Amino acid sequence: MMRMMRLWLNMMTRWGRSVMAVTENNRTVYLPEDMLVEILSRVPEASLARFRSTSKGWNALIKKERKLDYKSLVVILIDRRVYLARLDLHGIQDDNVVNLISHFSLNDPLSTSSKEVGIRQVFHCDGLLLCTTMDNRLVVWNPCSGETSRMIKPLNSYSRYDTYALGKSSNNKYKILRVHHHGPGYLEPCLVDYEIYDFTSNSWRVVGKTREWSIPHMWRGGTSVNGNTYWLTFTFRQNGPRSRDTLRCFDFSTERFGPVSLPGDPRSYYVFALSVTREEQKLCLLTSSRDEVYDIDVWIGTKIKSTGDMSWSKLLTVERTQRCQFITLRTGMSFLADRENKVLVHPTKYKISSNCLLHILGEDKYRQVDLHDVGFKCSLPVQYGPTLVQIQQGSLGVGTWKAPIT
Amino acid sequence: MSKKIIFESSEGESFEVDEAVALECQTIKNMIEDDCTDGGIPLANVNSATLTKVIDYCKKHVEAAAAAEANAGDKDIYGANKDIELKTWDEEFVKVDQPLLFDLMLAANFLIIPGLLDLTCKTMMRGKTVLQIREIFHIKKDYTDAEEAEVRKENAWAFE
Repeated sequence: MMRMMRLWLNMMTRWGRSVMAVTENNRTVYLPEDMLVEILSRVPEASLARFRSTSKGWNALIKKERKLDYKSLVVILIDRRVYLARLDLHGIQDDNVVNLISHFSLNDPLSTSSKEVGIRQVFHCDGLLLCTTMDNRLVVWNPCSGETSRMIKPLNSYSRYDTYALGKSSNNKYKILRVHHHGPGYLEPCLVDYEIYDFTSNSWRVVGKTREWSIPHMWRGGTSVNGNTYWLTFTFRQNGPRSRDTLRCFDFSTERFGPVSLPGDPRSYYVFALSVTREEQKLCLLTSSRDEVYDIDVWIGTKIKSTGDMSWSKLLTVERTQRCQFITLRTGMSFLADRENKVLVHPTKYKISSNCLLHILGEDKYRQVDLHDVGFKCSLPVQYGPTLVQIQQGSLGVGTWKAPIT
Repeated sequence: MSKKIIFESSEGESFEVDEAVALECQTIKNMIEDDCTDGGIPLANVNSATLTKVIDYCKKHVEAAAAAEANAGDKDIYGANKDIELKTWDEEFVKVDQPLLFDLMLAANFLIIPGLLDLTCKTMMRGKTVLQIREIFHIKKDYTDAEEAEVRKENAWAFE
């Protein structure tokens, strides 16, 4: 009897308030509100926005439920530390646009000192973060579970011309790519070779080399979409040093770089930076007009063929940005496009100023948000969606979040 | 000989499972810890067809975890084949009709099986249109056409 009571109590608490009746084959099932929230918390944000037209009840629930808001989490690198922050762009006039939720702290397992290991760069793929440390090692984190990989050493020593990317092949295997430049690759071609780190064998292997193109310094942070990584690149002509701005994608399944078409007539604009849309992680390109340099456009890549032909549509145009807005955009070089609110979000990292600023720029709005006392080096807002992927390995998991993600 | 737990479905049918399999359900785990599972656990809101599937799921995941542990050693198995096999198995597992999928989801929620809850919720919602959602959840449209158009307009970006 006690047992029945317990189970009944358990059911009552778990099944809470019912919002609707579902009839299947002449029987009625009550779907509790928290069950519906459970379901909705697992759908992509674009689907969630569509489902608001299902019924008044669903619309109200989706609007009010904070739990469905987790997709506005972003990862920001500030002063050699990785922070998780919540962006609330609905309240663009409020002071609470950005809330830093937690920061990630990594201690060196091989050192007795309790000093935190500084993070140089962060790369994102499908909920996992790849970080390069100030002492030139690599570590993969799952901020959702707090798990970390072992500390990974690159194939050879650190070069400031290197870049990394975390990617996923079509059979769901994560890999790390290192693109190793034997020179700046800015004014003239240099040898570029690229290597893959395999988590299964814990080893690196060279997969290709080229002199035809390079990733110049300002574009070195790639953009991860669907497991593959995109970069803006310089493509060098055979005769002469002048380069062309091009777009390239590394396919983690075939382990090859391939060219991707740019929108419209590439001679009519300057390319600035790549990013993704906050909502559904589609590739975005920021350009400025050659005729009127302060007019900027954000393009969104809608479809890509296996040949690298990309279909683009214009997401946002801001005409006559003010000079300071334009310059900060140009300096920041990393942005996030928000389709719902039609704004760009980008941080700046002035060395002279003590604070990091977050800029929000839309067709008819502009706002600066002070990230308060979080230091002066700030970059890369990466839209972050939690993942249940496990980093399965035994040793040397040493990272911890200072505060739980709620 | 491992300890057995007996589940009783809504039809009164008994299902005997290893304790390890039952432990996949957080709700049952709590009951086992509280030592109140003797004589079977009646699950008045889970029918036999659903319970059979739930037990299959838990068994498979217990076996997969055991196999992964046995092969782990000092090898880094991140993204290894085992994982992919299990994912493929999961995908096959949820290829069921809509009512059964619904029941599985409710059972996973009630018994607290996070992996199964995630799997069933995602499968149910993946690629669905508003009309399909209304059909699945038996929701009557309570918007007027004008109201619906307004909400769609607000979220126009998501329909592109």
